[in-house]
Amino acid sequence: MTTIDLRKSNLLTTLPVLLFVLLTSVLPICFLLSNAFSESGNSFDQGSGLSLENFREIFYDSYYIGRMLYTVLLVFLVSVLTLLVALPLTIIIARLRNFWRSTWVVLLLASLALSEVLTAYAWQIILSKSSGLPGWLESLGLLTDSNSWWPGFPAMLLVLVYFSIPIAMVMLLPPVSRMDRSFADSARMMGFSKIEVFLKITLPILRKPIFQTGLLMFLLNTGGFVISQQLGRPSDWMFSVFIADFMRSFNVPFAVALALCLLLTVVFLVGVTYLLFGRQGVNSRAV
Amino acid sequence: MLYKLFSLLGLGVFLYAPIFVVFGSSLNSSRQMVFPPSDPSMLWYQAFFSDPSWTGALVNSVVIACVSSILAMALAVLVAAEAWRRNSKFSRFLVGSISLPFLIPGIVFAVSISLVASIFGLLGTEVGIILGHVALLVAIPLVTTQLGLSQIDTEHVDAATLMGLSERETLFRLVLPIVRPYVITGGLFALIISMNEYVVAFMLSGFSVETLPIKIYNSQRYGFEPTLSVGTIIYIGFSLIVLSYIAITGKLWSLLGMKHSE
Amino acid sequence: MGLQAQDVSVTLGQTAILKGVDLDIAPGKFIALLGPSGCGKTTLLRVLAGLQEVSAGAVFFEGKNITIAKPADRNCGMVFQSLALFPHLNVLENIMFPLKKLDLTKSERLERALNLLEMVHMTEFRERPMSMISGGQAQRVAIARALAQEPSLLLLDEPFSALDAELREELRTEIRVIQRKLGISVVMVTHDQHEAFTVSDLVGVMNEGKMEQVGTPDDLIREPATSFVAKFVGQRNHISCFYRDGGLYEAGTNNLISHSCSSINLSPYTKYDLYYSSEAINAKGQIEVEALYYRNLGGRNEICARYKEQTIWIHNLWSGQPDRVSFGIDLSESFIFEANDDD
Repeated sequence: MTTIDLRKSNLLTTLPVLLFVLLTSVLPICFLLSNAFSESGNSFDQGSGLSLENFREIFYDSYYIGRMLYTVLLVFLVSVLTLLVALPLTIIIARLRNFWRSTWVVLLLASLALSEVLTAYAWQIILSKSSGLPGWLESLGLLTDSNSWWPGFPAMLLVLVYFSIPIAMVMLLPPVSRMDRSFADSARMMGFSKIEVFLKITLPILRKPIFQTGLLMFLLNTGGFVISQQLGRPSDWMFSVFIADFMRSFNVPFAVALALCLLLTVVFLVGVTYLLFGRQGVNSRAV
Repeated sequence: MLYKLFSLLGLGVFLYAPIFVVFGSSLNSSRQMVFPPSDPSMLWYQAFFSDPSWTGALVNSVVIACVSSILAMALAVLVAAEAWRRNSKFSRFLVGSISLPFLIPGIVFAVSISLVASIFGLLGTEVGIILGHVALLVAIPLVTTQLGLSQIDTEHVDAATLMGLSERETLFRLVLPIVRPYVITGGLFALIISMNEYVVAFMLSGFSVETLPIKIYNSQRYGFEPTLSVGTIIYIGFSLIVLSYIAITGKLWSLLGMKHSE
Repeated sequence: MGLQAQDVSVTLGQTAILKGVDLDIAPGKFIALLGPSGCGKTTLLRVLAGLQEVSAGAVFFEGKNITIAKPADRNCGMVFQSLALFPHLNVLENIMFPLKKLDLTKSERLERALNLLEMVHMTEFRERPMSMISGGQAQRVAIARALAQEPSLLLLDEPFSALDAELREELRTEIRVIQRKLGISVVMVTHDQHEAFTVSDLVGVMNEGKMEQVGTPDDLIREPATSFVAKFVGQRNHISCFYRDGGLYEAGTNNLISHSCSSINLSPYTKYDLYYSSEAINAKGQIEVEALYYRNLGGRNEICARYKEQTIWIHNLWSGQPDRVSFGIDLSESFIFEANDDD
């Protein structure tokens, strides 16, 4: 906030921005809605009229609903696992000396830069029989007659968690390192063990950042499809894989309808979570 | 103490093992993806750089990423400046709506922007991908720029006004130097992400444009080939360099909101 | 009995933070650790608390060697500089938190917590969350919480630094009252000399990791043991000097300071540091200073003058407001130490 103030808005700078916003945020949503409600076709042309055909297809049986439920639960599981691993590690890193802490931040951010496609590809190699872990373990005599460990649910889950951990850690590092160490010192002096301090002090104080990180994990993982598609069997695929597939086969309106369902589900879940839990974070002044 | 060392080591190994494996496999002299490499050679690096479809994809990615991040930075600065000068409902609306593409699930945005692109005939063009990436990534330099602006004490601005500086002078001589590193850092992050981004690029590419991630993904369907690994390694190397630069120039800590005493 | 630190040293990496510190506190005494920033007083406090390992030396409490004892086993409570009040708990819950570690029933815990609240006059605020209490109120809660486990030793790390003067005075007195009522030992770290002197039985003056002197406020003013104490406590002015032929002269200029040096054992060819206060001057010497400005404080006329790189305050013995003055120093009211080699 500043004392410099213009009486009127600076149209020269805000007009192009407004146009851009219209083009890239407003219009897409509109098109999403209009295409979802048009007839199933196989091109990008708008259908002849509006119809609920696509939604009838989606809700015909419980298949897509089931897939959506599965996706939500899967992503929730991924978030929980990620936080379980990321939080203690973040706490350790936050306490390191500056040089090592910096190095770790750079390492984490660099691994973040590895996109879904490359991550999926790299793990396919590691988990393959010919050039990865199963092959080595077999040659070491620890495994007999193994197959590639992908596609499969464990592989998919592992790589989804792998993908999410650096993001979670980078998001958690600032609040964790800002947390006053005297909280833990104080509790230690009172006689609480390290685990008790973690559960009763550290976690409650970090409630809000943990929640926000978990939310971001959720958004990020519902939006991607490559890892799920590459490392999971068709029965393991997330909802987004279907959207991508139908787009690829040019069944655009149906894909769009699915996308709309996904968007609405996400918005609904996020909204509900905020209403239920969002208010609690207000009183925490620690971070 | 020891368990701390172990767990960090474990993390490092876990995070970078795939990268090492990919690197190793890129050194194979045969077509097979054997790790450790059976007969290490730079064969595939040569193959990569002499194959126009690969180098073309790399060039595409670089060009798209550069243009996208520059445009994203420009937009971010405009919006952030507006929000800083006047914390009005309108500026808040701008900030929120321009960040929207980043916040919704990636695939949903990719689908919806491709619909828009097709109407404007931008499907299957580099411009279309640039548009999609700018929309997606503007949120990043926006966040960093807003952070940079929040570092400016309003008292400094008041002092400048008292000294008789015009608004334009204040902007260029006070605000810009402080905010510039933040903007650039945001742009660099956007650059890295754009280089690696697959989903939006894929939806907008319409099978006629190939960025490197798209080509890698497509090539996977034809079985493994060490050239894929070469592309991957280039990306990681690039990201490490850019990130180290950001870390060294020091703004990383301010961005992360962490204390960093030398 | 009581609390003793014997030859405690703490070295981190290459830096020696505490160098052979000795401290002896009788039970039920209130001692302040006083010194400039970086002198090691907070580190010493943390050593006493068990939060900082020693590189050498030992700490005894009530006869037991607690050097390597865990903080929880030391029967002491601590108020941290940031207070460390848990933000997700309200006032009462914060105080009841340490009580969980005691063998009490729920109602006993509640009763004790309420007594503590009463003792710090915070009963009506017991439901308040941490975000809704003021700085002074938070201090009281922190003190009550530190006393919850009925420790025999209370440690305070610059507890009042964020408060205004009036509040500091109020809380200082309260701590003293509580201390005397409960009969516990208190160690308080502060950089505020006035605070240390008004409320403690003893003051330990520290500088650069060393304990310069431990004594009553009176001892420290009237009989400083080291150069640093003479300067720091009592805010005295400093002058480098040497002795020759029965007279003390200013180093460098050879201006006369005083002829009356017979009562002190001085040797020639030795550099000395002389510390004198505003009142300890007379008109019998030749130290020259240029006056900067003047003040009249409570009937006392003083001149603020520039002396070398310092600004000093001297009693205005001359009429009016002279631009330059020459003065001597009354050695019976000053303190003289041999200069260190590193000066």
